[in-house]
Formats: sequence, C-alpha cells, structure tokens
Amino acid sequence: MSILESSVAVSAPSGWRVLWRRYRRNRAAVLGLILLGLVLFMAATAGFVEPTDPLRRAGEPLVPPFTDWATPLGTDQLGRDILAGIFHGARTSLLIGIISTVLAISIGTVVGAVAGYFGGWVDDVLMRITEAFQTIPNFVLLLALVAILGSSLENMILAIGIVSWTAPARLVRAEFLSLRGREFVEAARNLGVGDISIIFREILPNALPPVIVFASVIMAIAILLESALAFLGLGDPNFASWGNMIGAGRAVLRTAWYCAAIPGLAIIVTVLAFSLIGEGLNEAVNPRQKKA
Amino acid sequence: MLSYALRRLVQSVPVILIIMIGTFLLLKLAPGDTVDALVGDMGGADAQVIARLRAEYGLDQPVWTQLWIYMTKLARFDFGWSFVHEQPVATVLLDRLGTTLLLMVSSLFFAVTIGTVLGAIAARRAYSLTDNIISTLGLIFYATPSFFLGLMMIVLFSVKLGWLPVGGIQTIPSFYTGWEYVKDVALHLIMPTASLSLIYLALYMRLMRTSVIEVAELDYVRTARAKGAGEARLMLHHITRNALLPVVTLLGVQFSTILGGSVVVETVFTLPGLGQLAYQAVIQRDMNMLMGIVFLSAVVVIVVNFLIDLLYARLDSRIELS
Repeated sequence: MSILESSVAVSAPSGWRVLWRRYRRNRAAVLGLILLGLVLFMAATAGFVEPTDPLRRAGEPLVPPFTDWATPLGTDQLGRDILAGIFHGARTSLLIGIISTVLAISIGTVVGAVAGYFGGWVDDVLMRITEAFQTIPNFVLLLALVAILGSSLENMILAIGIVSWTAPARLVRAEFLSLRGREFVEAARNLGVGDISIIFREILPNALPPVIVFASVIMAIAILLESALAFLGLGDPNFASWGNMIGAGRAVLRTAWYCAAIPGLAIIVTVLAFSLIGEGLNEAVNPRQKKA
Repeated sequence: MLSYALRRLVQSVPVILIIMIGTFLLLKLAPGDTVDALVGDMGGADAQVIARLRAEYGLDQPVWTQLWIYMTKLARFDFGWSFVHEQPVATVLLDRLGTTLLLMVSSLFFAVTIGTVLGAIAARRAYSLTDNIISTLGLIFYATPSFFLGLMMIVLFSVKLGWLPVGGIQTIPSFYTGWEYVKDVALHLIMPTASLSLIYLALYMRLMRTSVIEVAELDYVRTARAKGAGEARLMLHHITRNALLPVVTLLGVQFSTILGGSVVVETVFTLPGLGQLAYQAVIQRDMNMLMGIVFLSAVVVIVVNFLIDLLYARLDSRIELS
C-alpha cells in the first residue's frame, strides 16, 4: 500500500504547481504579475522616497519632470513632489483596493451562499435586494454613501465595498445552486451536520475558486472607483491619492499637463496589472474554456 | 415576445419598492432633515416654528407612516423641494435628463458599433498581428479611467490643436438654429462620448471577438459555407446576428454602470446633465436632490432594460417559444 501511495504522490504534481505552469504559459498574464510587482515595490519603498509627508512642499512649484534631481518627476502647483505622491498613492490605492475587495467578497459570499443554499423565498428576497443594488448606478450610490458617511479612508472603503458585492453574490449563488444537490452535501446532511456548518465548511470551500479569480476584477474596479472619487475631490484629503493628483492637475492642465498625466499612467498600469492577472488566473483555472 | 419583456417588467416592481425603502433609509441616515434644511435656508427660527414645520411635513409621525408618505410621493415623481435650486427637485431633474440621455445614447451607439466591428475583425483574423494590436488596445482602453482620458483629450484637441470645445453642451452665446445647432451640440459631445464609451467599447470588442470565434465554428455556418455563401455574406447574414446576442445581454447589464460613469464625465466637460447635478448635490449637501437622482436613474435603468429585452426578443426568435 505504502509503495502505491508514494508513487501516486510523485506522479501527480501539486495543484498549485500545475496552476502556475498553466499561468506561466500566458505571456500577458506574466506581464500582469511584473506590473503588479512594480506597484507593490512602489508601495513598499514609499517610506524611503519620502519618509515624512508626501503632501508637504518639496521644492519650487511646477518644476517640469527630469530637470531637478531632488524631485525627479517634477512638482505640482503647490510644490509637492510628484514622485513621492506616486509612491505613496500606490499604498493608498492598494490599501483601499484590497480591503474593499475583501469586504465586497465577504458580503457577497454570505448573501449568495444563503440565497443559493436555502432557495425559495429567502432566495427571492435576497435576489431582489441584489437587483436593487445593481439597478442603481454604482457610482451614484457611491456618491450618496460618501455624502452621508463622510469621506474618511475607512468610510470610503466601506462605501466601495457596499457598491461592489453584487457580482460575487451572484457568482457564489450560482455555485451553491449547482453544489447543494451533490452527494457529499447529502452525506453531510444525513450525518446530522447543521445548515451553517454545511454552508461554510462543506460547500463554500468548493464554491470559492471562481470567486477568488474574480477578485482581481473587483480589485481593478475598486481602484478605479477610488480614483474617480478622489478626482472629484471627495476622497480623504489626508492621504496621497492618484485620483486626487489628477484632480489637482486639472487646474494647471494648460501649462503643466504632466501633473495630471503621470498619476494617470500609474492608475492605468495598476488596473492593467489586475485585469491581466485576472484573465491569466481564469485561463489557468478553466483551461478548457479557452477556444482554439 | 412582448409577454416575456412584460413579465420582466413586472418582476422589477419589488426592485423599485426596495429602492424606495433604501432611499428613505439613506435620507434618515443623513445628518439633518428637510426642516433643518428649511430652517437653515430661512436663517434660523424659534423652537415653536420648527415644531410646527415638523408637524406640517409629517416628520413627527411614526417612521412607518413617514415611509408610506415618502413612497406615495416617489410613485408620483414628487421628490420634494431643493433648497439649493429653490425649485421642486423633479423640475430640475427633468431639465437635466435630456443632456444625460443624449450622452448615454451617443456613447452606447459609439461603443457598440465600433466595438462589435473591431471585435468581428479581430475574430476573423484571430491570432494575427491585427488581432494582437486590437486586443492590446482593448486592454489599455479598459484600464484607462474616463476622467483621465477626458483630460488628456482636452490637452490634445482643445489646448494644443484647438479643434474641439473644452466643455459645455453648446457655444455660449449661441444663436444657432436648425442644423447649425445640431452640429454645434454634436461637436461639444465628441470628447465626452469618446471618454465615456472607450471602456465599454473595449468590453464589447472582447466579447464580440470570443462570440464570433465561437459562432463561426457552429454547424450551420459550415452548411452555409458549403452551400456557397461568400465570406462577406456569411459574416453579415449568418454569424453576426447570433454573435450579437451576448453583446446585447451585456448592454443591459452595463447600462447602469455607464449612467454612473456619466457623473465623472459630465463633471470633467461641464455638461449640464444629471451626473454633474449629482456631484453638485453632494458638494452642496442637497440630499433631496441626490435621492431624486438615485431613484430616477434606477427608473431609467429599468426602462432601458425593458427596451433591451424587446430588442433581444427581436434578434433571437427562439425566445418566443419559451
């Protein structure tokens, strides 16, 4: 027996390694990882670039990029170092993106799991609520929430989470609908396992992979939502934010358009990284879905 | 076909009710109520007057009664009074709705036509250089925030080249009439339309590409080819019609997101629409206005989805059977 077991273990490489091998084959997905590495690097080293405050005056106002070594990417109209803003903005974007994505997925998972598992009127009520959230344009709802809650960093994360949970809820519900009739669920039920336990310990681990793949899409949208809020001047003014830098750059667009262009490129790189990773993961997890 | 769409419309009644309750809750959560705004507007009043005003507006009633009053008002499109605009909210909204709908229609038209055409071209030449260029552009478009794209277009087309107006919906003062007026508005809409639609253009393009590749492998396409249909006829008559179905579905799903995106775009290009109004309402703390916009935009989304259901049934005759 032991010989047989060990030979099986050797011939079948672990799931993660297979996933990585499939993922690696997709060049665009690897580029996504590299871009994400770049953004993570900026977030990690922001403290070295500007240890005190990225919003402080660092030099003369409106120094063009690549002219002064103290401020390599130039300064804005208030003399703030653009490079420091970009590095610290990476921190803010990732922080808001990660926490609000976790929040959105948690809400969505609970709603979708309960709706899909119990079905009937519970499902009806929860799905109508989900539809209501999807019917209201998400940015309009986000504005309303920020107007009511205020725009501190925590409240922005909360508001972005509240407008982003519907897609994962539908995804989890669909998984639960197809899994709840399976034999392992019946078996658990016959053993007397409670509903809560079946939902979270039996079905959920099987339903999560597509949701985790989808997380990168939610992350990309969360970062775009935050930057749009900050652009409109509705973000938290105490944190460096790419959106806010673009909003400030709008005032000097005619004379110094680089003030808006540089943070814009940072947003594009970050969102592109998450979209590419999401696509690569999706193909690696469902290799048969890709045609031709 | 009509009954299917109507059934979907009936299903949206509970959704509307939930949205009504939701906006009521948000109004209750917001600091200050109508009377606070009114008193602030008057520059202060004594406690007796405030109590009488509260009674007049029904704010001393139990919450359930207040909710009922609020819902019956919403059902009649009575969104209350805007103390910023000194007008009923509904009047202001109706005044602004046209600009936003115009922007929606032009953006959707642009995104769908260009997106599907580019997607179909990419699919017919899958994995060629053309396909790679189109697909890469699509990914970059998808990652570009609309407000950033808008600003960069202003830099290029208004500041550097001087071809297009920076903002607004028409030249002021304008004495244009007839076609001159239409041309003027169209010129003002080019950049807002482009910046709002590019993300969706990328989405439709990618969807159309996958969809055309899938449909082109189906048996009926091979049959048509065997019967001697040319490539152009095959594409136009046989493949496109079926490949468009998922695009139309996505159109319905995406419409509310596009409406949300217009907030930012209208603010960038100072277009006097609902989106700019929503932004101003947040800045000026005009909660009645903001909730009116939330409710009205939800109604617009439901109506548009109804129209898209009709279109879908028109495109896919199999729906009649179900």
